[in-house]
Amino acid sequence: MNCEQATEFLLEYWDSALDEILRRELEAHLAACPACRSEAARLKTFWLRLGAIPDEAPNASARARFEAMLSNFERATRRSRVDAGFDSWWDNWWPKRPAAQLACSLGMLAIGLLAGHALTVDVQRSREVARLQEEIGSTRQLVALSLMREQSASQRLKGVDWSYQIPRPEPQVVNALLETVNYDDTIDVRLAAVDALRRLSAEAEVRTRMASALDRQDSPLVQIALIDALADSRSPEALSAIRRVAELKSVNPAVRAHAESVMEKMR
Amino acid sequence: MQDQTRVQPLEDHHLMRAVRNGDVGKLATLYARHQRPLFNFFLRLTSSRPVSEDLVHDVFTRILKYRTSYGEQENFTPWMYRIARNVHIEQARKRRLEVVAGDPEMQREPVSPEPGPERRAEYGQSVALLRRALAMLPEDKREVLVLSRFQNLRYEEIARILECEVGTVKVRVYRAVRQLEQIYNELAGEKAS
Repeated sequence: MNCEQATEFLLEYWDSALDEILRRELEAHLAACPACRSEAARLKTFWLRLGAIPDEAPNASARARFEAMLSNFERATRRSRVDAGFDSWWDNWWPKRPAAQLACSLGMLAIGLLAGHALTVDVQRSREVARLQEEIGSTRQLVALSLMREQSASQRLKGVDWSYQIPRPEPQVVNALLETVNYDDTIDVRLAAVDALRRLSAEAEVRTRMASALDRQDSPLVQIALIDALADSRSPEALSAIRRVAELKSVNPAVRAHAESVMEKMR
Repeated sequence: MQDQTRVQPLEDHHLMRAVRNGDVGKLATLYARHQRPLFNFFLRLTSSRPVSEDLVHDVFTRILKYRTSYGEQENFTPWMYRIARNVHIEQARKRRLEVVAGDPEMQREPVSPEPGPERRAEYGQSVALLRRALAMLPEDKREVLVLSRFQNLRYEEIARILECEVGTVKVRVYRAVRQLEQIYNELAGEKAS
């Protein structure tokens, strides 16, 4: 052991923490080197003297300050745990790698675009269907109106049949049907028009005009058809129209009998 | 060595693991064990009681803040002193302390355990000189000397704190003692003359 190596082991030697072999080597060096021996003895005294510097106690306020800090921290942690519930769920769900995050973002963007597109398409389709239905309805009304003005009775019958395909006929179609009942030359066509109007007899306007039509009818078959159609509504207006027909002296006895029978049921 | 303040490393490790895992209340036990040695470590470095108390508080605040960085293979005391060392370095940068006359309280001579007025006076003067000499020692040497002589740490632990070889620690401590003795003798000579 040389002088420099000796300095490395002196501290542990003073603290009696050196193992047996090193202790003997060090003691042999100190015995052989007066300079090291002298310095070691001197520094050992000083090393031990350093122990005279006493430990001091910190003020009690320091502990109180620490406890307040710890208490605040625990409160804040409890609060943040509640707030972190959603964050934790999101952290678990959301991928950690940037590449996976990018892929996930692009995936969600694609889903959003597709959903948006699908919704737009659905709305557009609904609008188109409604527009087409409207167009079909208009076309049917035009066909019905056109056919009811035809010279041929069979064509006019077809026109009356077309009116059944219109769920809510426009006023022009209703007018055409009432004119057919009042003025068509062919009884079959008028009877078909009465049947077509029968499904609309719930409307007061239609009912009033059907009652007027009954007053001017001379065909017993059409009168009976109109009486049946008006009877469906069971309205006072319908009853008085039927009574007026029944009281006509010129009316067909079969019509009067039917009218009286219907009035009896309506009462 | 200060055997009365010797802590149980394994128990400290379990406590700190609990703190790391969310049972932060366990830090109170670690504080109770380490507050005083840590306070004296800073006191010998800064010669100021208020500054030392602030630094101890900063160390435990940081332990809480960085609790999740405490590793499974860690040893609590060296880990805490690494934090303490960083806290002290940052504080020293912020404040230029007058280390010798920093705290009037530190100029007070301690009460002697020795009986008799002459012996008590001699003891008090000796301790005051030692403190002054320690305060005049260069920062790096003062740090390694305090860790070795007063903090009851093994050389392996000091090496881990200072991030150097164990042999280097021993040599640095020896040189620090030699320089401190020289300063002390100079101060004692001035006082005698």
